Amino acid sequence: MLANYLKLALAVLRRRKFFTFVSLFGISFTLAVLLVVTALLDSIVNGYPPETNLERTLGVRDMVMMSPDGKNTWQGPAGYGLLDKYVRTLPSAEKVSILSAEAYWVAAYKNGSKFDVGFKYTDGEFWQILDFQFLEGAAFTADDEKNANFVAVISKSLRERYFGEANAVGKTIEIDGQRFRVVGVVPDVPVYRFTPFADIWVPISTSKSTTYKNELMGGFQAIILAKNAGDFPAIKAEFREALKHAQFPDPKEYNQLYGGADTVLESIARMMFQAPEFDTHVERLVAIFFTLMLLFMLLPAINLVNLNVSRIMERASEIGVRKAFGASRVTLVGQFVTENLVLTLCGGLIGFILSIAVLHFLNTVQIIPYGKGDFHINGRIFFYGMCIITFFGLFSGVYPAWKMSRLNPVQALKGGV
Amino acid sequence: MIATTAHLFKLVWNRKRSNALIMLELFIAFLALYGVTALSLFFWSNYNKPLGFSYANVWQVEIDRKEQGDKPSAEQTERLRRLIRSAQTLSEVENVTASFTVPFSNSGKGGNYTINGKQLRMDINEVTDSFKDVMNLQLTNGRWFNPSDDGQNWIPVIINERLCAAGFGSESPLGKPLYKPEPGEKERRVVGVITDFRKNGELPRPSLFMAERINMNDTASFHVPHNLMLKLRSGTTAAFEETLVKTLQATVKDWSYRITPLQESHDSTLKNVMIPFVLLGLVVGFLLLMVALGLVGIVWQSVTRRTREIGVRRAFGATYGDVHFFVLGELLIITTFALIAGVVLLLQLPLVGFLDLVDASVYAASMVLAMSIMYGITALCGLYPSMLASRIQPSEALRYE
Repeated sequence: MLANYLKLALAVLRRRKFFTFVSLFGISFTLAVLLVVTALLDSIVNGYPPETNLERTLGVRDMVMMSPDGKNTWQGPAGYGLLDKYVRTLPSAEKVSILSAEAYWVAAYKNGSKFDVGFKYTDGEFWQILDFQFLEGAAFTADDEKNANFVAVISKSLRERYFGEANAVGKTIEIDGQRFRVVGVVPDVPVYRFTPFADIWVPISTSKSTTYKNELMGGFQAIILAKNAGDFPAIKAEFREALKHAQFPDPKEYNQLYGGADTVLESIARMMFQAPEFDTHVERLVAIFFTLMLLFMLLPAINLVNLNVSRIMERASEIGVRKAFGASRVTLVGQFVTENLVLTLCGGLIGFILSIAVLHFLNTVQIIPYGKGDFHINGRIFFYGMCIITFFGLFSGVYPAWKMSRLNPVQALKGGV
Repeated sequence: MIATTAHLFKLVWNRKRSNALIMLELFIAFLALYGVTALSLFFWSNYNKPLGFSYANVWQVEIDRKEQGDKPSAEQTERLRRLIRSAQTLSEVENVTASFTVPFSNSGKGGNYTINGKQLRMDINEVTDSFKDVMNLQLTNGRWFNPSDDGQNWIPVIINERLCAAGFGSESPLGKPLYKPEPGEKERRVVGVITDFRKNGELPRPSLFMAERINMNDTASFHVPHNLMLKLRSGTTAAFEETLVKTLQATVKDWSYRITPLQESHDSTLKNVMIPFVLLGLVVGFLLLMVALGLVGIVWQSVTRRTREIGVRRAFGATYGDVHFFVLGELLIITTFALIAGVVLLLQLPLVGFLDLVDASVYAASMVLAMSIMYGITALCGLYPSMLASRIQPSEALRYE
């Protein structure tokens, strides 16, 4: 039965090549766009090296500090003082690392040319939570941080800029007017992986000034490693509780703090919606994403429906014969929907190939001012893609099929609709 | 002709079910296209307005003081003065100014103030006296800041012509307070008018702008600016950057410096807007191409199906032109219905404040442009099938079964 449907479907597709081409064009293009977007989001939100522990990691990123009357708010990255006092001490956390909220861009000069270097302050735990593959040397330790040793881990491309092909460990690198001894070299991290990204990582205590130590707000983030994701609610609750008892240098100016220990998606949602009390709304973010995706699919889907509807006419006599010989409406709908699914699957295949090509292109050209991407299609995205295709095939096939099954056999045989 | 048009309407109406889906498709395509035409015209009209300043040979030095807040401190002021002096000693540097915000950066200060009963939103900058010469601003009325403004109990401000027109109409703003100060706040008194200072670059919409004078001798209320701007002698190369950073680091070693030629930030700002815009244009272009190809298929199919009908018309004396008119006319009527629905929806945009974002002329022109493109596309789609239809011979068509 199904084999018959498939044979029929392919025969129909071959019959009117123009229609088949237009349908495939629409489907493959739509899927390629959706897959590229999904792959881009996936590589930001999900764990890729060095963030292999992402599914059991939370982050404390932007916070909001509020005045007693709630009129003055200060939103921005948390301060080192706050993170040191209230996040490092969370009982349910296995490990906590404090690092710069984002990489500072520092200009470096070598042999008369200038290049931008992403510069980040971190501590010893950072290297334990994140899973860096060291090309040479090793990470700096908590002791290095405590003793303010001028040591640095650098990226592969920074090593190339400074030392060419030679090894870098043990050598000195001068950046932003300070000199660091290189202790380790790691592969480049793409710039959109904003927690681990940098070209040079140095201990926080090597900062030029020490005022950061007591600040509640400004310049830092924390990442929290839990034993497993099951501990997330406990950690979130403990952090909320800790914020309620936070001490303020001048309670008349500011006396409330809001924020949370978040997954990446929760952080994005928190910053996007700017809710009062700075709550996160992941469900809203997901709803917006799916609505946009559906809206984008609407036009190609209607286009396909229109093509299908106008094709029915061409097949009126076939349908008339089948009806006259007693084919039920369900059979006809089943047949037509199968045909449409075969069509969308073919289009989907082309779409996959297209999206791999686009991602490959994005990886090779420098679209972002600094560094290259490592976007790719994996099993998870393939699965999303198959879901999208199937949904699309059903969505665009059901109405024409229903309309087809309602044809009056006598009229259909005569060729009129 | 009127009779024929009426007849076409009837035909469209008779096939309303399947035509409705085509209309829906064209309606959505029109809305997507409107988004692109509106953005294009918006950028184009902004691009053609003068920037009001010149960024050639101007470098920005961003100072990271590694401290929070803008608390005034005599020591910080002193350090900033030392930096400015040491930059001025370099032979490549023509002029130095300090400013809060710089051109082509996302961050900036803004404020809502009531001026002559009107609530106005403006961009605000705080600058030193040499800012006008470094940025090559064009003064059209009054005077620029000068050292005689020290020690006044009011703060001198410069406004752009747009703010002058919006707040003061045809009256002269000179010597007047820009807005009524809150108790305890110093009066902002307008001393001059400049053509413009579009800090966000060519593509965003020009905004209202006000610059306050930084009084570096008044350490009590003084915020230390984050940026120095250096006007360099023409011909200075990028190699000078390293010398400059070393000089600044030798002067105040606790601070960090990041140098960007404004030409670079200009180019990257332009790129940051243009890349997403081009991507959007490409996606919408592909969607329209898909819709167009689909339409060709549909019209083709309907022409094939109606071979007999067209044959009869031809037998009764319809000319080639009549058949063209007949096939194309039907398509254009469907398009017209879709566009009417689209325009009705777009006419609601001003109600949700769309005209605060774009000029009325851009709003209207982009609607007309999008409509013309839609008509163009559908006419083009109908052309080949209608040519096929007009070639149908009556004898052949009537034999068709």
